[in-house]
Amino acid sequence: MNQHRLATRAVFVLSTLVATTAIAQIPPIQDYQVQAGHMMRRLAFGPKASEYAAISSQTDVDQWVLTQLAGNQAVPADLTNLVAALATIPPSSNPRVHDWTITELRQYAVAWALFSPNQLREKLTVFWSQHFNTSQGRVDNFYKNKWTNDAIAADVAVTTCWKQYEDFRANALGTFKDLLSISMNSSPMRIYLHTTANHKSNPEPNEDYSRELLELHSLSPESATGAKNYDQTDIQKLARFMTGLFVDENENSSTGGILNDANAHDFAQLDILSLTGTPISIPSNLTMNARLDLLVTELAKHPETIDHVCRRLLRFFAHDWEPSQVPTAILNAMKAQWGLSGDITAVVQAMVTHPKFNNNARLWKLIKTPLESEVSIQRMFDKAIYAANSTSTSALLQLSNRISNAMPQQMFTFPSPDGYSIVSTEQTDVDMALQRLIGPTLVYTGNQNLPSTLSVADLFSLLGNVTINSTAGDIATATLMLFYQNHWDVGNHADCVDILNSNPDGSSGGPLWSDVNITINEKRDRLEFLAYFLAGLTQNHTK
Amino acid sequence: MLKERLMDPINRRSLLKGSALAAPVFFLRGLRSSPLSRVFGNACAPTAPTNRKLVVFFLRGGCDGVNLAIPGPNLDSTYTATRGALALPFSGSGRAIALTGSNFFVHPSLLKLRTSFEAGRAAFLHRIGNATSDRSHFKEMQIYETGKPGTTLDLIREGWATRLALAFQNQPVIGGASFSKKLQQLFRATPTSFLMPNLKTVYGDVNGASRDLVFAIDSSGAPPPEISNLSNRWASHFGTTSTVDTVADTLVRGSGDKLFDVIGDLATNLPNPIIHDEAAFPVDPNNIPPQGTEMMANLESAMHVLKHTDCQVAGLELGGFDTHQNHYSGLPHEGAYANLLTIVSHAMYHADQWAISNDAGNEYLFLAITEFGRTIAPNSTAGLDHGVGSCFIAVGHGVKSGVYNGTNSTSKPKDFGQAWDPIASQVNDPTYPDALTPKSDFRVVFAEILEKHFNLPRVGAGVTVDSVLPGYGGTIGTTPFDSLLDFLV
Repeated sequence: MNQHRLATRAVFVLSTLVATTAIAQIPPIQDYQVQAGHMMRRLAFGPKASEYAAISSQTDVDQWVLTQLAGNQAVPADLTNLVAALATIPPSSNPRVHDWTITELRQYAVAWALFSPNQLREKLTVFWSQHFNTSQGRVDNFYKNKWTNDAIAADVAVTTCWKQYEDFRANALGTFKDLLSISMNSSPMRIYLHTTANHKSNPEPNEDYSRELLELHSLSPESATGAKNYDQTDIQKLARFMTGLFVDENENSSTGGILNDANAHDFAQLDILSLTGTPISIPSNLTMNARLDLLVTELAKHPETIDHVCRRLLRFFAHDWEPSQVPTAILNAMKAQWGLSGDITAVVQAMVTHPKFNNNARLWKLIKTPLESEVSIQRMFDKAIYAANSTSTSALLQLSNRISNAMPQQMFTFPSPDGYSIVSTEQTDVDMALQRLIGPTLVYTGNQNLPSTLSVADLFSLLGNVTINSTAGDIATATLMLFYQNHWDVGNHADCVDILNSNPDGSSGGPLWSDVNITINEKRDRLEFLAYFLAGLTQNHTK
Repeated sequence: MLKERLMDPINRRSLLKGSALAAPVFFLRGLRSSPLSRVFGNACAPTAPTNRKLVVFFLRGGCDGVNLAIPGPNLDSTYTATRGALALPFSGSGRAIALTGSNFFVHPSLLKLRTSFEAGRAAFLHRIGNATSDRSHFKEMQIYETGKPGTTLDLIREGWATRLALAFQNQPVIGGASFSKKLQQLFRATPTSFLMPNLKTVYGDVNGASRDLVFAIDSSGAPPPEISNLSNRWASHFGTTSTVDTVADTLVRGSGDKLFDVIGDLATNLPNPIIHDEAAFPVDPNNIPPQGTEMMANLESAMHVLKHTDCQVAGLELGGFDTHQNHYSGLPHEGAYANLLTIVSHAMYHADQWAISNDAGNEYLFLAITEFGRTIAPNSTAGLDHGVGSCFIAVGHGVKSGVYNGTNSTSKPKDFGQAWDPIASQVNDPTYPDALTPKSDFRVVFAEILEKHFNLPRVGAGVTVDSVLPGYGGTIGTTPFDSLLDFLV
């Protein structure tokens, strides 16, 4: 078995159930298991041990994918309990009086990523919330500037952002047209990109939303060949069209809804995007709502929108290509399934069932975003938060704070309308590297603080029936059991024994684990490194 | 032993390679090019002066240039009417501040920079832009930070500061560094050379007196166990070879290597402890949180790293200039834009004063840039939308005080460059509607710094202006748009 084969399965790819002590009887890893790991890394926030253990054939893998594409599994009690524990009054009961803050909003999103069985739906929810990025901070400021009661303003701001996220989740596998409509008709977007004071009587309407609607949400500035899709005149025309898109500002009654004011809407015919060869024309003899719906419809089926959104989905799930290097075969397969409204389930299915998506699993690589990284570690370990009381939010708070502040992927408050980057080269730098080391350490120790040293007693209290004097083989077994339960193989075991017999810093000449001269501190260091190794420091999806 | 290994990445790597079979790195074996090979293997390294430093302030979001350096009545009689509610008065409360020897005024928030201007150390580089701008933040920032315009297909990811760092002698561990929440694109490298660290964690809590190093270094110069443990493990895990040389693999291991090396470099060179110097880096006079506080903390970090290590380029950033709404509040000299300019003025002024007081006034150059300007006429939400041309600010060594690209028949001694067009006419420019039309390519500013501050040849072998700003070296001087401004002596 070659080293690369070992590599691909060493950390994340888990094997079938084996007897703890019968290392020699562990069967070799199967191709369907490799693919299961691949799919769980791409369509989910990493493999969860129990889900992986349930896979015993290629048919199971295919069924798992189909289940994810359906995205309709029941929400577990762990998740509802945990979300309920975030506040005494759930947000749906009365958006004006619940007590969620931005902190709880972030915990809620992380909890869904951790616990939802519909992992693809959850990943897409994150994707759409970034694609149509808004900022809770700006919504909060908006209502506080308008209203006298800051507490209600804050509640409404959080609630509208929560509601938008819920809507994205509900439609994550639906149509792009609906997603675009949700965004356009949400108060967070109207506030964030400033349509709320655009009145037809003003000669210079705010262009912010018009520009980002074309640049980020639908077409992108240029076609795949580099031709411009629109110019400043298009932006100005669209800004005039986007007049009357207000929000309900009534302090006494508003729950953060939108308000389409036909009296403030400029009903002039809209003619834009002639540069693309597929111009859009919205006649003046329709109602304001009908005009907005028609614009959404036309944008959703525009060839440049189809190309732009499919490329983003492909980069999000498959690999971080340069724009000119995106493989056309798989891209075209996705675009062929778009239809008139953008059937997201069909598009994603075309991607994941394309031979290239699977054949290139080891070549197409991504670096996990902070959210993906931290959540996948938790799922892999079935530890920390998973082991915690499902109504205890302290571990969840720590996790969401790390993602938002330390990494930092500022969920719900990312300032820039392009959302958190999905470009791999922006997921790691010297500072980020340090944070990516700290995450597994926190999980390993169950400690909120970065430990300077771990006591031998602490380590062995985690490992159960082995001691510092046990053999490397037994300790490897106990450690693998700790991290993977039964889901590991003989190759994983041999790797762990290698670690215990080697100096953690990679230098040569150190004693073997069985050497009588090895010190306790040396053993501790090797065990600590083993923990890092098993935590999967490599942020690559395919490791 | 630990310190030696930290200080000597080549030996560390040799050790790792020599013990490949014993090392617990089984799934990374094989051959690949080292991310450090570009650092240590550059046989024809040029000779940029080692005492020259550059600090780039990126004003993100698109900073309005019209109200930054304002054309006075002698120069442009259309300013007040065209800017409408946003027009700054030239007399009375909140008035624009006159620049001695120029027809321009500056925003009142730039009072400290006016002092630098009067002292002969500040220049306002007007109507700088990208001729093919499509007014996209994200694309234009990439263009300005990589130094290469074009369509999306033409864009590159490596920052021009990264390429500049290759020009420095001896290829230091920290050739340049970003001091920001995330590594700025200006310092991003291609997958095979991960040169630039992001050092926001050099300082800890910016509040109160705890601006000590997060990674406190003990009296022996060794980093604390937290860091040495982490870096050793990282090196063991990633600091070896692989058969799969992909973007992801190289980046992850590259950043791990870099973390290891940077910590060693800081451990060796930074004084310990570093005491926060409130007199040199005071909170801005308006005490604008959190951006102002963060800016001064990051600036202080940057100046220490520049002074005590071989780092020659530092990058800071200030967001919030995307003032589509509430560009001003009530009066044109108040509000979001005014607050941001106060931070810029305060930071650049004190950075320059720090350089002078540290006998380094002839070494440091400070440059404020932005990805585009704003529209000229205010919109319905008291804001300004995306424009094209804007105004850069240069302070420090070699700067020839003046306002550039703002001349006419009444020009004064400190007005230089191309002619000013009344902004009422610029509003109707069909190529750049409702925008400050650019008169100079943004790259001419960078090119002049590369030539005069860092002594790089324009074209030729090795690292040149042409290699740092890909393909631009031969274009310089061919048109007025591509000609140097001569704001540096």
